[in-house]
Order: sequence, then C-alpha cells, then structure tokens
Amino acid sequence: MMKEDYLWDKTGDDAEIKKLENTLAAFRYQETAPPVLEQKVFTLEKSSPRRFFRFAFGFAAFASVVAVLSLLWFQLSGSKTPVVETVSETNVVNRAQKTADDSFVAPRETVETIKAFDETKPFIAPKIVKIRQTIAPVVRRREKITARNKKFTEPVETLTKEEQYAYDQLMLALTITGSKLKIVQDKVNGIEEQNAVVEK
Amino acid sequence: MKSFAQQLSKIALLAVFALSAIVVNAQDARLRFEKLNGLETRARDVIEVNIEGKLLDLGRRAMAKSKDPNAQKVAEAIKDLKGIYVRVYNFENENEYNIADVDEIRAQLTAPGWERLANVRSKKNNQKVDVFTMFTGDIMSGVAVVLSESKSIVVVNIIGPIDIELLAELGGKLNIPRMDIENEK
Repeated sequence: MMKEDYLWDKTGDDAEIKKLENTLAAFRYQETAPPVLEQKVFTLEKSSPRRFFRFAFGFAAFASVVAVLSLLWFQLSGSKTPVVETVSETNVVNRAQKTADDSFVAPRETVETIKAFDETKPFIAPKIVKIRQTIAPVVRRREKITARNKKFTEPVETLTKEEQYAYDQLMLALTITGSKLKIVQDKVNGIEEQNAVVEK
Repeated sequence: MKSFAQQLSKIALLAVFALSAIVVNAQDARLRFEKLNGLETRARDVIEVNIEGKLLDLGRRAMAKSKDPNAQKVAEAIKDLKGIYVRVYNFENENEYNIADVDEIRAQLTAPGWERLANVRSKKNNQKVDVFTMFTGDIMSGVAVVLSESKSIVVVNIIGPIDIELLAELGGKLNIPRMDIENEK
C-alpha cells in the first residue's frame, strides 16, 4: 500500500516509491548548458528593381497629388487676380470672334475693355500663372462671357440649311451682277466726266 | 343665272389668257446658255448659278431675316424677281474660248423686246460689256448682262423686275461668299 504523503511532500517513508525513484534516477533532470546551435549568416540583398519601382510609383503619386493641389490653389487664387482674368477673357473673346458667323458676336465694348486691361502691364503675373490659368477656367469664363454678351447682342435669326444655301446662291448671283453693272456704271460715269471736262 | 355663270366663265378664261400672256412674256426674257456649255471643260473656273422658284423664295426669306441694311435694300429690290441665271468662265490664258459662243448670246439679245441699255468697249483686256433690258409695258421683265474679256466671260440673265441701279450701287458692299469657286473636274 502506497503512502500518499510521501508522494506529496516526502514525509514518512515509502519503500516502493523510493525504489521507483532510484530506478528512474538516471532520467532525472540535470541542468546543463544549452546546446550550441548552428550559426546561419543571412546576407541582405541590395534594393531590388521591384522595390525601386514601388518607390518610384509612390513618388509619382505624391508628385501628382502636389500638382493637382497646386493647380487648385492657382485656380482659386487666380480668380481673384485681374490680370489672369484678362488673359482668359481675351482668349475666349478671340476664339468667339473667330468662330462667330452669326450665332455669337462679342460686343465691341467688351473687346475695348479687354484691350484697356491689357495695357495695364504692371499687373502682369508670372508666365507660369498665365499658362496654367488658361487651362481650366476657360469654359467657366466662356459661359460667363456668353451670358454677359447676351445682354448686348440682338437675337440672331437662324437659317435652315436650305435657306443658307439659297441665300448664298442668291447673294453670289447678285454680287456678280452688281459688280458687272458697276463696271458699266463706272465707265459711263467716267465718259460723262470726260465730256464735261472737254466742254469746259 | 345661266348667263351669269357663262359670263363668269368667260372672265375666268380671259384672266387665264392674260396670266399666261404675262408668263410667256416673262419667259421671253430667258436666255439660252446651251452654247456656253462647251466652255466648261476649257475654263479654269466655272460659276453656274440658277435661282428660280422655291430656291429664290428661300433666298428672299433668308435675306429678309438678315440684319444687314444693305441686304434689306436688296431684298426690297428683288421682291418681284422670278429668276436669276449666272454663268462665269475664267480661263488660264487669253483666247481660250471662241468669241462666236458669246456672240451667239448677244444675238439672242437682238430679238424684239430687248433694248440695249449700255454698251462698253475697252481695249484693255479686250473688254466688251453689254447691258440689255426688256420691258412689258412699264414693268421691267428682264435684264441681261454680257461681259467678255480676253480671259473671262460673264453672262447674267435676270427674269422679272429689279432695281439695277441699286444693285450696281451695292455691288461692292454686299457680304457675299467668295467668287473663286473651283471647277469640279
């Protein structure tokens, strides 16, 4: 019969347990130095191209964000600068005048005002500002100018394709007729004047 | 009642005759350009304009819409016009056309009804300009302008009344499309 006290706190005597202890003593834990592990040398690779690209993409993204922000900043600050506005308006009016057949006519007052603005050279902004300003706000300003011009220009009648063709043909025929009649008129008037001079 | 109906039909018949007479008279002012067709292949530039009927109405309507005061004047001057026919032939070199072709047009203008209004002859470029008019009563029913130079021929035939003085006056002032039209070959 085993004595449980010996198992717990080694009080008393238990021959059977002791015998077992002695038998297993060979396997008792003995504190020894830790085993020496094999050393492995890890060499760090140089920056791979993939890593470089990752960095490049990051930089490009950062640069584009900076560009967009600066563009926005220029836009916002540009709308307050009179010179920049002048540049854009001039462009828009010039374009409008080029394309204006009958639908859009810039009033002379606007053009004169813009010319007057152009003469104020001391207010000319740095070149880069001018270039940037002409990109985005053109559409907005064009709308503004169109809206402004609507006050001055009379409503223009639109012609259908057939009317336009007929008008062109008629005017061509009348011009040719008119120019030839003018030749005759000038010749007749010239002869009459010569006769008047001779009679004097 | 029957006699009234007969009288009405007679009046209607007379009106039809009168109208047809006016139409025939107006048609008399029309020149034939067939002889000039052969010049198309030889000319450097050819302008051919035929305006009548619906096209003329459209042109008049468009002209009336114009804000140009000169166009307004012209619109008034051509309000009763029935047709305009123009032929312009520009040649690269001198004497590339047969003067007989133009003389054939001038011969048509010797027909009764036509009256020579002006006749200009200039040695410069061998220029010959003739202006003829045709009247039906007091109303002008046709105008013809024939111009021949060493390198060009111009024939204009107008059917119906038109203020030619006004047209001459506005000749250089109208906003007209360019005249150098390429000949399609």
